[in-house]
Amino acid sequence: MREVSGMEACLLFEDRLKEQLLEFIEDREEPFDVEFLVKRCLQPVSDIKIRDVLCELIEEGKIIMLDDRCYLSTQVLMKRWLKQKIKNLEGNIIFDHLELPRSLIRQITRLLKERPELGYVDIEDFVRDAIRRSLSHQRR
Amino acid sequence: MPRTIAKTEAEYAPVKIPKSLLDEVDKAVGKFGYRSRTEFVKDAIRSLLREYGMYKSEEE
Repeated sequence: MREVSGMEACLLFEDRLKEQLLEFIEDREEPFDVEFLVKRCLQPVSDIKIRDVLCELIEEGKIIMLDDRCYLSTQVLMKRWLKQKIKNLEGNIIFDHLELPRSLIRQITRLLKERPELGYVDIEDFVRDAIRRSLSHQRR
Repeated sequence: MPRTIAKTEAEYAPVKIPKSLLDEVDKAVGKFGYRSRTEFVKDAIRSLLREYGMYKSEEE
């Protein structure tokens, strides 16, 4: 087996560190800083190394810098933005309520549970689809 | 009678639907011989459940 040179070992360590750091921070809801990450490392890692990896992750678009100290995962930021966007969109829709037999709702619930591959998010999603299909069928 | 009210509340549940969609239903109701928007929606649900092979009339 070929011997790994010092330089290669160092690069391997950095790659692994980057991978592990990303895994640790990409779903983290709270902002984090270098000090926090240094404390969380199981092996001793210098804050300069962590800073270097964070710079790479910023360049790759995986995290963003909130201020001169704090960082946040781009994935978390996007999720928050999307949630807010969807909330705003729903806020613009006017809803009405319709009383439907519980027996039918039970059958929909069972379908949602047994056939998740159909992609219905909830009962209302199914009812909306049923109405749309029926309307387009009647128009034909 | 309180008993009747309790029974109705237990048998029916409210479902939230966009008003714009219900407006379209209202237009279709008279045109295609339904008595009300609820009848139309119930029929639409039964059809789709039937399509997926999940409709059981005896449960209604």
